Amino acid sequence: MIREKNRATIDADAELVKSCRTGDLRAFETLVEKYRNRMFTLVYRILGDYDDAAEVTQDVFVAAWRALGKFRGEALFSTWLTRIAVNLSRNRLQQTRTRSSREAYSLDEPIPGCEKCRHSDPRSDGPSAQEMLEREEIRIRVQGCINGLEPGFREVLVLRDVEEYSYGEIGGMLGLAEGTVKSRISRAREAIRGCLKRVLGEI
Amino acid sequence: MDHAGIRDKLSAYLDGAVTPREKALIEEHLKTCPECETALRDLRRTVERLRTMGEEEPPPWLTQRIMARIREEAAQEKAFRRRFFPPLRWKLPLQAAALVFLSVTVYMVYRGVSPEVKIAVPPVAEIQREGTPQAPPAITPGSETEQKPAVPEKRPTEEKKQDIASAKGRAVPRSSGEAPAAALPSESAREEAASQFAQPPAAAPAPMPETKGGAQRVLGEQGDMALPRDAENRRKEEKSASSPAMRAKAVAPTAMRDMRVVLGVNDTDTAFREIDRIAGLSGGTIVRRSARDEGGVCIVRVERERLGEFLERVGKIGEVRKTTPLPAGENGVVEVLITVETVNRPGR
Repeated sequence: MIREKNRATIDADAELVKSCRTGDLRAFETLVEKYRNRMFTLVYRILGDYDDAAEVTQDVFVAAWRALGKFRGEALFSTWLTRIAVNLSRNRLQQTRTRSSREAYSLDEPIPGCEKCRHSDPRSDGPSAQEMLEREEIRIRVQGCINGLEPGFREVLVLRDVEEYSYGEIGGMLGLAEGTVKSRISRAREAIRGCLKRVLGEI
Repeated sequence: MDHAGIRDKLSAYLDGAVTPREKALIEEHLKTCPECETALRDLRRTVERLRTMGEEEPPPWLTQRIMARIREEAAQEKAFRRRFFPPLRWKLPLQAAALVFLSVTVYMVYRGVSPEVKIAVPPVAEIQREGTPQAPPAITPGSETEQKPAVPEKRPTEEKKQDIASAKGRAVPRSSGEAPAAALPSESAREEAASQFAQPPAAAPAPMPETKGGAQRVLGEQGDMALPRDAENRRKEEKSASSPAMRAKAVAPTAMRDMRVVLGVNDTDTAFREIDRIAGLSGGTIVRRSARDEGGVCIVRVERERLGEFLERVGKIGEVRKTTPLPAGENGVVEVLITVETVNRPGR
């Protein structure tokens, strides 16, 4: 059933991409609507900054529009789009890391308080800590832990545990050997495990 | 695999990315190592936390902003394409016009450099200047179109003279050594010639109207014969008027030189048969022929290097009364215009 649904999605994407190549903006808007949230989430998980994620997500779709002629359909459209998103996120991360310090938990230092956690969340400017849902709080802290990872580890962790790509797919996307991907994921998970223990007390 | 090695493999074990042997070893170790067991449980929960984070809600304006940028991109791209790649409705006519221009240019250049015109025409112009003072002086070597007006100028006179000859009957007295009168074509002679000579298209005058130059040329010859007093001059005139057109039709790209021979014979039919034979022997071809009882003309195309041999054979058919000088050079093709005249006309 799921496989049939995936097949339908693939065919629909291929049709939309075909229409886009003829300059059909409506077809591209359909693809934007379809992948907007997913790409934004991916970029946000890697960057850890809401505004940056919004900007980079725009860039991802514009870059995709420009490069549609080069898309040969060898990979899925979603995979191709994800690769663009990871590359642009990495570029942005390199720019911003030198510009300012991140609101991230150091994976080695003591855990900051909840105030800092909320401060790192762009949508938490209104509600107080008491009003925040527990789930939301955990999510913010987990994101804080991700933000503490080195970019190379963030990418593989997000692609594996958020996007749920296989080791092989991640290796293909990032140009890494499968062994390297496996090793990075292992180390990133260990780091997040340690961070979450400190942030949440227990995982 | 020791404890540290097992710890490193726990993440991969969680994803089922270990070999069966590694899996067995890890599971065996986990039974006896509470630390690794706890680590595995924490890792599993960590992954679970990451996987259940859910999607972030992007700003509501995201799609709108993306599409605004895409429209801008598309408009720029369209403008670029319009600038550097014109639409098909302009492109096709432009390409067609360019092709026509190119073809015409190539044709003109080809004609311009063709040696045929340069070599062939100057003698014609010379002959014309010598023979006919009233002929148009503005004949430029190599320009066939400029020579053409000479034809209509000549035609009425020629036809008039021919009419006079016809009115007088065929028995117009000949001046000594000149061509006999022969104005009206003889159907029987033509048919005979056509059947005897293996050159059907050239044998009979029937195809002559197809080529204007050819028709004029033969008419000119008839006029010649009808009024022998000025035969040579008229022949030259006629040649200058009609020869370039004929050359253009018949000989296009090769270098062609002209030569004229007036041959006196006893019997026209025999003479033409002989010409046909010796043309074959000398590797030549009969391009055009117009035979009458009283005489006729034929054009034989022969290689320059075999021209001497051909002329020697022609000399054996009858009396060579007139001949223009041999064309210069050793190579190329020469068109020999042979005017056959009967010495003793068959009595009628």
